[in-house]
Amino acid sequence: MVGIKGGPFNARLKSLRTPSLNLSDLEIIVGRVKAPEEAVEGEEPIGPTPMPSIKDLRYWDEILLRRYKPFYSPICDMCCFCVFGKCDLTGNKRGVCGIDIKAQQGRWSLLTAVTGLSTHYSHAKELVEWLIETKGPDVPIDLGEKTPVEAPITRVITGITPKKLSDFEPVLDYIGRQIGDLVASIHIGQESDAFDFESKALHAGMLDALSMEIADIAQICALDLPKGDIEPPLVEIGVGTVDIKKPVILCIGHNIAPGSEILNYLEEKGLADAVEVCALCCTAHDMSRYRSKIAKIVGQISMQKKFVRSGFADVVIIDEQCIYTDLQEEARKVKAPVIVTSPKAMRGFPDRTNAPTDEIVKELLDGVPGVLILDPEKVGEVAVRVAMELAPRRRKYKELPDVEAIIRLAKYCKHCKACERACPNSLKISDAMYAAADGDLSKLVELEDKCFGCGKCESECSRDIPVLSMIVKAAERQLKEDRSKIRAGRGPITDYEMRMVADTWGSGITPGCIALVGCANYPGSDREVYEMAKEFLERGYIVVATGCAAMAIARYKDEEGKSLYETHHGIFDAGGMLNIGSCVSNSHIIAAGIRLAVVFSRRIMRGNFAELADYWLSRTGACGIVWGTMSQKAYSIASACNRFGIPVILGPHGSKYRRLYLGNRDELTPMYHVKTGERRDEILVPEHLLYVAESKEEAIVTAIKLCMRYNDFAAGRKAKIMHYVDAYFKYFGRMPEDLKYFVRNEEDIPSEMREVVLEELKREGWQPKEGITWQELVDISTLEKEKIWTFEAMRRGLRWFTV
Amino acid sequence: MISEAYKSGNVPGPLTAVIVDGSIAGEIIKNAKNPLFVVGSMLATEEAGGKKLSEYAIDIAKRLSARGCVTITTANAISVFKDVKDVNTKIMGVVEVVDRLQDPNWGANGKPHDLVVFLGIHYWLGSQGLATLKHFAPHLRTLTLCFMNHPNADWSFPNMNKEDWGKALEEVIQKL
Ligand code: SF4
Ligand code: SF4
Ligand code: SF4
Repeated sequence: MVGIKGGPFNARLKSLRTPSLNLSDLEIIVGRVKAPEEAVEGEEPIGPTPMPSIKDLRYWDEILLRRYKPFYSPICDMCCFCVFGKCDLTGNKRGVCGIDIKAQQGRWSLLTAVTGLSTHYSHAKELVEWLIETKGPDVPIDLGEKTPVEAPITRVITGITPKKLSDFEPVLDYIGRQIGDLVASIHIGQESDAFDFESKALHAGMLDALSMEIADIAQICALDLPKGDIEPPLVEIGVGTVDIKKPVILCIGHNIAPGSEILNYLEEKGLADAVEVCALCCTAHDMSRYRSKIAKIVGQISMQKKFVRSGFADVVIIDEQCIYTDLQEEARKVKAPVIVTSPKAMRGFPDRTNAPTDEIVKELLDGVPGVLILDPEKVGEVAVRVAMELAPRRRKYKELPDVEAIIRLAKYCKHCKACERACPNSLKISDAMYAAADGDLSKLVELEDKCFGCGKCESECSRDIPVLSMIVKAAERQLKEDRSKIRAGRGPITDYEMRMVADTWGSGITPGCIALVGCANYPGSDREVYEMAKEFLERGYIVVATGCAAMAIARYKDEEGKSLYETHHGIFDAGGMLNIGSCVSNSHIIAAGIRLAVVFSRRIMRGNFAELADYWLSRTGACGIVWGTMSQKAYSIASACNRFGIPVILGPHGSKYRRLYLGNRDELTPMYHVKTGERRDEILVPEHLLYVAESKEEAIVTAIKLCMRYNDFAAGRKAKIMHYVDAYFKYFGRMPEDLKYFVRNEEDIPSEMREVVLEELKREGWQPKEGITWQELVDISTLEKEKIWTFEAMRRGLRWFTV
Repeated sequence: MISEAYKSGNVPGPLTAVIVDGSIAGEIIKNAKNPLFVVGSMLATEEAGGKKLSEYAIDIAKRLSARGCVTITTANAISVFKDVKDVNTKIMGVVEVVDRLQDPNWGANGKPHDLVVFLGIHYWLGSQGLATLKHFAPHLRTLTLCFMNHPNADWSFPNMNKEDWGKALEEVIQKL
């Protein structure tokens, strides 16, 4: 742990002295940071854009998109959005309505982002309403004394400082109104300009961050989930952790409500040891945050069908979001009743919410395949009672073939490769079938951790060969041994931790925060996510993870059988491996940069979006990696990061989102002096805002590069360049060809590689940039002087303390 | 010749690739003024006709280098060129090179390109890059040498097995 406790951290900055860093010149607007217990709330002035509408932050989007131009890859040349069409938009053709292919991609961008946003918004709204109903409107929004700034994103976007649960209601109303405006813009004949579609997609992204924050803070505060614990409990993860001798309840989705009520019922009845409760996807994260000793995590979305087909689950609870839409069919095949619990995913089941509990239990035991119950408490009781009664009867139900059947089926394969062509990752199924026909199942086993578990291969096979079931059966032993440990999602990064890490992260000496987030649609195996995490930890980055990616990291262990969560500390600091939590916990990663801006530079938060986003973009080294990107939510989360100025790298499947934000390092970009207003044209750093990498190696090297920031101090830039060159050599076997863009002058060159770097720079015709003073680095911003509200407030003589 | 897209769902629109064999592909490259060869991550993993894919790629890159052309290596494809002499390579991401190619004046060797040749790029990423060029780089023609039919290219091989792919790549090389 670096940093000092309590005192004024300016003292710590002295250790930053470099050959040219003259601290008497260093005038960061920090002053003394208050200890949490001294914090006085409500003194913070409100900035220029509280509750921004779709037009209010357009100027910020212009700044972003001038630097990082939308790069479009249409996945469909057609438009069938209205009945004027269907229209061919190839090349420079326009639709009947007049739209062109670029604007059409922008429209898709907005549609995708607003879908992701609506999903989190609706989830947050439902959750807050349920929590107000069950716990009351006055549940305090209190994340503990180490985190006095309870909801940074809410403050930044809306200007509201929520004190109690019901304070989120006006914020949710605001988001709802914005969604209406965003969706209305999509209608034919409304928005027509690609930039404006993008600006609105970014607006949707920003509101997604807000929705996620509300959802997570509400559940943390009302259900007492970990509040930024640096050592949250270790939770079991993996198929092998589930005791299938007991009745098994499987919860799938992204909503804690029904799952927590199952856990409550078990505790109340003293049945916690008698029933196995396990979960998949974000519901698993949230249930284990709620009751880490009872709830078990099976794994990522890729495990949904694999686990259900295995027949282990006696009851399947489906809540919301990324759940296979045919999962109830899978459950029906293994005679496991389904309880659907969300009005957004009723899946054709009869609504039994108001039916007597005994009646519902009887129906499900009598063979009704599933019911809709919109009362979480009732779900808790029904699920437990049905699982306990049904378990002994359904032991024999499995959808998996035995080994002889696998060999027989493999012999029947005609090697047409229709399955491979349909498989998202073109897995080499035909080769595995050849081997299996000869009795060698090892190639099927090898496919397991690359297989997304979608079953698309099966629906394409004209011989009805159950490819996925064969993979799962072949890998059965490995799956049963699949058990590891993950830390329960810890929730927010605390202001206290931020005080400790502010100087090293803020200056770049801790070279960056890498956020491994998102879905499980990996281009290779999920091992790649673990390998990325390991590499960045070894390099001394801060590694944070959420959702499926956090689980993928836990799946692999070292020689001593320990996961990265066990071998690394959980503090937000260099070398920390943090599970932040579920998808909605992504908000805390975005909030971390806001906390830094407040702790390190005392920036005003409330209603001051652009300034905080500028702070992220030009000062705070971080990069998100969404390696298995798949959903609309992943897109809106990436858009959230992007509007906040955080670069994101997507895995190759991300190219199908149709849009990236790419910079061009050969074009200079305007920067402004925050005090004099002087404009200067500079090389673009970070280079891209939304990028697709083709391989794990490219993702690692690019993430290191995208953690560079314009305002890096020499010591920080030096550290980043050292990692960049080192990783480049490791993976590409040579010097990077673009060093001249990042080495500002000789002080940025790591001493241990000085000669080789200088030689390369000479070859590239590099000219050192003279006269950089560190005061100047601190004073340069992407925003024009008048847009920086903190300085404006100071000019007006306002004084405030936040933390 | 009719061939479905390798990914059965990849049906972009009315304009789809003309299917070519190895010898026509070789002619197309030979006749281009300043072709740009872009090779990707599959170079390190794929085989064709019993040989490593990288061997074909290196051979083509060498022949193009002799004409003053450049090979862009994306992802970690540069690793297979490590000890190879007489090849002009540059490292860029697929999306970076495709982005630059939308500018009709841009050239990896300083001169504008008239043809872009893809080999060994992740299928969907390659397909999406080709879509960008199809719509936004009308000054360019695109050719893919992968074993998978890419409808977004101007010219593509049909879907083929690895043996036939090796033969097709040999035919390309013969023409250069
Ligand atoms: S929205 Fe426009 S482009 Fe799309 S189908 Fe209608 S008229 Fe055609
Ligand atoms: S689609 Fe069916 S028959 Fe064809 S290769 Fe795949 S498993 Fe074999
Ligand atoms: S179930 Fe697995 S093998 Fe089958 S298509 Fe999906 S990812 Fe490919």
